[in-house]
Amino acid sequence: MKPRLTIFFATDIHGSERVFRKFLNAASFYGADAVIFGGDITGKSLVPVVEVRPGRFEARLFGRTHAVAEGTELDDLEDRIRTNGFYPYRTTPDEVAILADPAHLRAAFTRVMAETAERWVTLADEKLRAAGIPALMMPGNDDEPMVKDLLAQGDWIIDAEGRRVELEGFQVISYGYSTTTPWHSPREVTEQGMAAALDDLAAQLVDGQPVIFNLHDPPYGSGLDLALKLTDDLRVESGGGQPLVEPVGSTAVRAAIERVQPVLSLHGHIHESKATGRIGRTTIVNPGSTYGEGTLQGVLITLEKGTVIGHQFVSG
Amino acid sequence: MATTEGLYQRQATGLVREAGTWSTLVYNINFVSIGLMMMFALQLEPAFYPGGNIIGSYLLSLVIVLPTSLVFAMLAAAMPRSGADYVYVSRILGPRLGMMSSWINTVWWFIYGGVPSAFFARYGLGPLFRSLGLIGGNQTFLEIGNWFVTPEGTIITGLLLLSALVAIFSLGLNAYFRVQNVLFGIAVLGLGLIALVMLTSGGQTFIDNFNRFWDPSTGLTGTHAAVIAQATTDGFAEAPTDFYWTLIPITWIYLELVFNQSSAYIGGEIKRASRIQLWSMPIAAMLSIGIAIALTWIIQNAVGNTFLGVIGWDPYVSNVLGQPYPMPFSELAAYASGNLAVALVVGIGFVFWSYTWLPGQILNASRNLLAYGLDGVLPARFASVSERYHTPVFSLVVVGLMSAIALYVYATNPDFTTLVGIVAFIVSFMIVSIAAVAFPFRRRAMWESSPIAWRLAGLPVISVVGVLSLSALFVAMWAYLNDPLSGVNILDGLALKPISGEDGGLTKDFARFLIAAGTVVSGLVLFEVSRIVRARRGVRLEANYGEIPVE
Repeated sequence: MKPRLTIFFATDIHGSERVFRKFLNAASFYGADAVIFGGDITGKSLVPVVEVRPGRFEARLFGRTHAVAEGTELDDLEDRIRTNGFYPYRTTPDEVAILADPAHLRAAFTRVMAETAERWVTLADEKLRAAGIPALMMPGNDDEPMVKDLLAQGDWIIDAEGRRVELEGFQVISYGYSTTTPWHSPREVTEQGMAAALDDLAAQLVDGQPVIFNLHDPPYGSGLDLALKLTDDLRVESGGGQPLVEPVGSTAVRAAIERVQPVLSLHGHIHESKATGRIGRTTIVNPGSTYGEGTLQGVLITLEKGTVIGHQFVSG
Repeated sequence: MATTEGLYQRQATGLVREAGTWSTLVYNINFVSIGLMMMFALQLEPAFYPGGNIIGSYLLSLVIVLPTSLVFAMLAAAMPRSGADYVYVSRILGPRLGMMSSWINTVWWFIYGGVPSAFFARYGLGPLFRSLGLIGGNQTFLEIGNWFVTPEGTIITGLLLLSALVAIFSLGLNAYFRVQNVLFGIAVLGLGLIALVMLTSGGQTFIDNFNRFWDPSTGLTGTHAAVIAQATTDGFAEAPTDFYWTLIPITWIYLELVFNQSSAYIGGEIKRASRIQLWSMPIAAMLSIGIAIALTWIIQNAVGNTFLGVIGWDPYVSNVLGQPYPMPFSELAAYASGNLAVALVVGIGFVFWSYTWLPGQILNASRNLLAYGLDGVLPARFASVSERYHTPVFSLVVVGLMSAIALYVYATNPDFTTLVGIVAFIVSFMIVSIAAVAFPFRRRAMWESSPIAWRLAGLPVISVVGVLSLSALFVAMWAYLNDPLSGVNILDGLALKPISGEDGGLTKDFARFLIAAGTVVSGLVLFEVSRIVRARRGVRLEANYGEIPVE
């Protein structure tokens, strides 16, 4: 066990290439000893980059059509699309016509997500191995099940989900599923399902060794889980010009923290709820996410003698 | 799976439908406070700026405000995060200037927390009860109205308002915001009713009704004419329209209008910011001015510019009416109508306008304190959120206490002038405008990836708008420093006025200017002190803001 361990934790980068690359450099930039990723690695949106004639491409971004030539211009446009957390998807006018078909669109998403995740795992292995930085990763509720398999292929990064992992004298358990959301994302469970999964994980813990939780879903009513209040048709409720908010975390996650009392509990899922707090003896933290701006939000946590001695939110 | 133009989305969390379009506009108009903006213009410009043209001043204010409005709108679209200047300036120009700019706002939101708290009694409840008392012939209401405008009445009422708002915000915001929508509706209804009354009961009807209600109070016969006569004797004079005296009193309009960009402070919570933020800020400014122009024209025609001038002049010089502060135009409408029910509606409507800055100020200041706490600039206590109520109770209470102190000083010390803080705000807006100019050059990748990566004749549009905003802000600053009523009147044209008075000490205006300047640099001092303290504990505060290399 290191006498003092500094962990860099970030989450919810949702397909932003720029932010993922920052994540890989964050440990050396901030002087952290290890990195933990809290889930939701894949993007939500796809922007068709249509080859309208040989060597000429067009894409709609933020309401404007960008017409570019193959080469540097096209690379720049695709970078811009990736920075905003969208997947550029090179395609043809014929394919665009059938992208409205849900099955075809799903296949396109699967293809582009798999390609990107695979490339990122290779990149993470290379960079973090070279830096000698242990890296615990997991998928989140928005990641398709295949993302977990891809993370498991890493030979340096560790797919930490669903098991107990040793990290410099601490034992870490990770779980990336969330409880039910209005969007019915790919990896959701009921509160009962969450409680059962966390019970199974807690059963793997060794007595007497400090524990860290890495759970995508934040604990209910903790201040880490304040999300915009939505109507049934997914509109933001507002009053007096201000959007209304409500706690949306998991009661099962909260119960697990109260029962196990880990030294640290890391969370994500609710991007706008950057916050820290305590539940009993546990320091709880959600660094939030602003991946759409190309900014990596994270938190540096310093642990010493089995306890948290400090934390610092950073925005890289 | 969902499709919007050129963008395909899969089933994933957080993809909400567009909302808040109307709410965002209301939020910004709320912060402008059309009622207060008009009140100051109507009370002060005809009285103390001879040659001033109110409608001209509105238009000049709009021209001066719009570039700054666009700067905030474009930055909010590029960086859709809550925190406004703290985020923009920190990211573009660095954390020190970010803290400096943001702290100016926070400090003056504390201080200006005391101002609308005082206005609540002075221009809201006082005139409401006074008009009900005079129209209804009810002496008790009249006495209550007169008590509200005393320093004691102002402080006690303001403290109750502050305490109520801090308590309500600490318990949760949702219910309040729903009520706020209703109050805004009543306030707008009040303005509509004022327009209707002034259109139908102007001219001689207004004079007759005014005399009917005020003669018993003043003991005069024909109070309307007496107020004009005494003001003229005491030096009140009108003058032909003059550009200089139309430009200088923009100070009173700018004070409200420039806050059309307030939704930038809740930018992280507004979806599709690239569209809503871009238009809601300038539209809020234009709409506010449009309403103000129409209503002002109606009131001027109904009451007459001369009477508007003497009614603003009377409390400070002649005092025929025996009132410490000028009556707001809503009260004039109440007398014009001669109807108790109308007086009640327009009076209640104006109560809302009188304090409408306050909720936003308290919320924005407490949000800033929370952000400083999260970033380690202030102790972590400021970042604490109540587990029970999910609100930053500690920060809210701090803001409430600071505003209470400001209220006491404002109500008891005439040296605390209403406009003194705006020069500090202007410095903050200047820093944001410089950030806008620099954005495409210092954060090229972020700008190119943003929805406002537009060019005009090869130049980034945001840089051009930033330069225009800076120029407009210099004009606004010049107006404040030349305005004899601003409290920071240290310039005569472009020349500096004498710094010391006859007693050899600093003039009050120069002293107030230095206080405002002190608040400008205090954020920088706070950041440096915090950086040193945190460094001793092994925390590099600068790391919060440094950009991680991508390669």
